[in-house]
Amino acid sequence: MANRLTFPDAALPASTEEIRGRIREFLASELAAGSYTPKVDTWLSGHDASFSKKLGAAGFLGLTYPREYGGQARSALDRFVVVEELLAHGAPIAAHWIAERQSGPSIIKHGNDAIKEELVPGIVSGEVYFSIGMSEPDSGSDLASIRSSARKVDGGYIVNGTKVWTSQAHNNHYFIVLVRTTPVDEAQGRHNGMSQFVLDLRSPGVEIRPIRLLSGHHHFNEVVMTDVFVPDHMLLGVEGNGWAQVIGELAFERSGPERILSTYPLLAALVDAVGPDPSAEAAAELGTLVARMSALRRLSISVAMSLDAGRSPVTEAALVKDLGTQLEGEIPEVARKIVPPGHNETFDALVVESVLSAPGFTLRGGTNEILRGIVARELGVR
Amino acid sequence: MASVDPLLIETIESMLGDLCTPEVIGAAEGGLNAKVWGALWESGMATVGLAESAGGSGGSPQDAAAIAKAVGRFAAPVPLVELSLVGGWVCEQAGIALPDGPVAVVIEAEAGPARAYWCPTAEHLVVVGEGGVGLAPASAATVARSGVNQAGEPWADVTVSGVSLQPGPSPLDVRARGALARSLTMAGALGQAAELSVQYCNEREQFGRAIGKFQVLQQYLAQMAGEAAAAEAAADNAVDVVASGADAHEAVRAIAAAKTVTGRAVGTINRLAHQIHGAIGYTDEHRLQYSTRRLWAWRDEYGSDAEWAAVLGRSVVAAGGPALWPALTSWPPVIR
Ligand SMILES: Cc1cc2nc3c(=O)[nH]c(=O)nc-3n(C[C@H](O)[C@H](O)[C@H](O)COP(=O)(O)OP(=O)(O)OC[C@H]3O[C@@H](n4cnc5c(N)ncnc54)[C@H](O)[C@@H]3O)c2cc1C
Repeated sequence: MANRLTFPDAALPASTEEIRGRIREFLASELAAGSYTPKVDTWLSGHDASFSKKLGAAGFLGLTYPREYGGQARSALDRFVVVEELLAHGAPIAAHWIAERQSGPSIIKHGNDAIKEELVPGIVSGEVYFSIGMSEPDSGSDLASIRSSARKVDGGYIVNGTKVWTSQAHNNHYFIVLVRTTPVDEAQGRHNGMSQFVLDLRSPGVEIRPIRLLSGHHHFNEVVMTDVFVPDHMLLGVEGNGWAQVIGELAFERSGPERILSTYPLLAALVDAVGPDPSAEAAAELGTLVARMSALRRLSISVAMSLDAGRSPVTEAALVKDLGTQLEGEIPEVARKIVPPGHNETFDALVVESVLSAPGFTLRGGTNEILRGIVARELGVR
Repeated sequence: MASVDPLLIETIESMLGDLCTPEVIGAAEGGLNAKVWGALWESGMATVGLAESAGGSGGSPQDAAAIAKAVGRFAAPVPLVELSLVGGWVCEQAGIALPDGPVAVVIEAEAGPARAYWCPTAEHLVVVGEGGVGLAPASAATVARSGVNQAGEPWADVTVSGVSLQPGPSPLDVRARGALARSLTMAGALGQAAELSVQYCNEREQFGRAIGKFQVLQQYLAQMAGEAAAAEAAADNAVDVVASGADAHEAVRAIAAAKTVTGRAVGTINRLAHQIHGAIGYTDEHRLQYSTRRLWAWRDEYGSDAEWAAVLGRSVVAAGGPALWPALTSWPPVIR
C-alpha cells in the first residue's frame, strides 16, 4: 500500500503541436464566421448538432478509434489536445461529447462487429449521439444498488426500469444502460449480475420526461423504460459483466481536461474585465487562479500520459477531478469578487451561467466525497 | 524534458533519511549541521545542476530540483539550495568560480540592509545589486540585525561593502530563483507532512480502532494528497520552463505560479496535518513540527505567495485574455 501518490513526468510530445495548430485554426474561423459564441460548461450544455458534424467532417472526432471504423488510430494525447482546445474556447460540443468520449470506446472494446459497424462511424462523423444510463432515483453514489432489469426473450431482452439525471436524453439517440440481468439475491455478490445494453432512446416503451434545472434549463431527464425490446446484438460485452465494464467507462469519464476547464472561458474573460491596472488584491486573486490552473493541467497531462501508456491511473484521475472541479467552481466566486456585477452584459452572463452550473461540477461523474474515498483507499487507510 | 534518474533520488533520500534524524534537526536550530553539510558537499550533491566547467557536479535542473525536494522532505538543516539553486547559479551565470562552502545570497535593497537567509552560517556572500553581481567573504558583511525564522533557520539583515561587481542576473531574476528554491523545498515538505499524517492515521487508535477508519480523516488525507500533488506539479512546471531555456520573463511567470501554489498549499496542509495529529503533533517532541514550521517559514521567504500571485496576475492582464491560453499550454513545455 502506497502512502504517497506520485505523478510521473508530464509533458506533451511535440507531435501534438500539429493538431493543436489545426484545431486552433478551425476554432478561429468558426468564431469569425459567427457559428458559435464562447460559453461555459459547453461539454454538457452546448448541444449543437451542426457544430458536431463540422468537427466530424474536419476529422477531429474519434481520433483514437481504429481505422476500420473511421478512426485515425492516433494517440490519446492528440485527443487530449483537441479536447482541451475545444473546452478552453467555449465551443458547443455537448451533442457528440458522451458518444465520442466514452460510448464509442466502450463499444469498440466490448461490442460485437454488428454494433460496431452500425454505430461507430456515426460517432466519428459527429452524427450519432449518446447519453449515460447509470443513475436511478434510488441509486446515485451507490450505483450497484440499481433496480432496472432486463430479462431474456426470443431474439433479445425486455428492459424495465427508470433512469434519472440523464443529460441530453431528449436530444440524443442512444444510451448505454446499466441494468440487472440476474436479481441481487441470486447473484453471487451485489456487483455480479449486471449488464450493459445499447438502448435506442426512440424505441417503443421509452418515455423521456424533462426535469428542469434550477436555472430553468432543460438538461436532465427521467427515462422510463416499460417493456422495451432490445435486440440481442445490442447487449454490450458479456452478460453479467456490466459492473466491470461500467468501471472502465468511468475511467474515461473522470480523467479528462473537462474536469478542470468547464469555466475556463470565464477565466479568460476575467483577465480582460480586470483591466490593465488591477489592485494588488485583484492581481493576486487572478494570479492564484492562473497558477492553480497551470498546476492542475500538468497533473491532468500526467494522467493522460499514464492512460496512453496503458496504465490505469484510477486514483490519480479521482484526485485530479476532485481538485479540478473545485477550481471550476472557484473561478466564478473570484470573478464576482474582483469584478463587481454590472461590468458588461457578456461578462456578467458568463459569471451567472458559471454560478448556476457550479453545483453540478462536484457531483457529476462521481461526487468529490466518493473520489476522496478512492484516494484514501489507495493511501492505505480504508 | 530531462527525467531524473531514480538512482539519484534513491541516493539522496537514503543519505538524508539516515542523517536527518529528529535529534539532529532539533539540535541544529539557529545554525547548520556540519555533518549533513559535509556529506552533501563531499558527495557532490550540493552542486548538482551547476555546470562542471563552473566547478559544479553537472546534471540537469531537474536533478537539482529532485535534490531540493529531498532537502525539504527530510528537513535537512543546511543551506543547500542557497548554493545549488540560487547563489551557485548566480556565479555560474556570471562566470565566477563556485565558492567552496556554504553561501548566503544578498539581494541589495534600494536603501538600507537586505535580508540574507542563512547569512550567519555562510562562508561566502553572493551579492546581487542593480550594478551587477559579485562574491565576497562573509567578513565583508555589516550585520544590522539577525534572528531565526519560524523553523529556527538563521538570517541576518546586512549591508556589504567593497565588492567588485560584474554583469550577471538581475535582482528580480535572483529573487525568482530564491522563490523557485523555496517552492521545491516546500513541495518536498508538503509531501512529508501529508505522509506523516497517513502514517499517524494508521498508528493512532481511538474508540477501539485506527483513527484512519474515520471517514472525515480519510477525506482530509485525500485533500492533503491533492494539495501536495498540485504543489509539486507547480514547482515541476517552473523547473521545466527554466530548463527549456525560456526567457527570463517567462521563467519568472512560471516561478511565480510555483511559489503561489506551494505557498497556498501550506495553509491547508499544515492545518489538516496538525488537526490529524492531535495534541502530540503540537509538541516539540513530535517530528511533524520540523516539516510544518519550515513550511510556515518558507512560504514567506523570497516573496510570499500573495506577492508572487500579484506578479503573475499583473503579467497576465498585461498580456490580455486571449494570450492566457497559449501561455498556459506552454507549461510544461512540449518535449522536443
Ligand atoms: C450535471 C449532472 C449531470 C449528470 N448526468 C448524468 C447522466 O447523464 N447519467 C447518469 O446516469 N447520471 C448523471 N448524473 C448523476 C450523477 O452521476 C449523480 O448525481 C452522482 O453519482 C451522485 O448521486 P446522487 O446525486 O444521487 O447523490 P447521492 O449519492 O445521494 O449523494 C448525496 C450526498 O451524499 C454523499 N455521499 C453518498 N455516499 C457517500 C459515501 N459513501 N461517503 C460519503 N459521502 C457520501 C455524496 O457525496 C453527496 O454529497 C448527473 C449529475 C449531474 C449533477
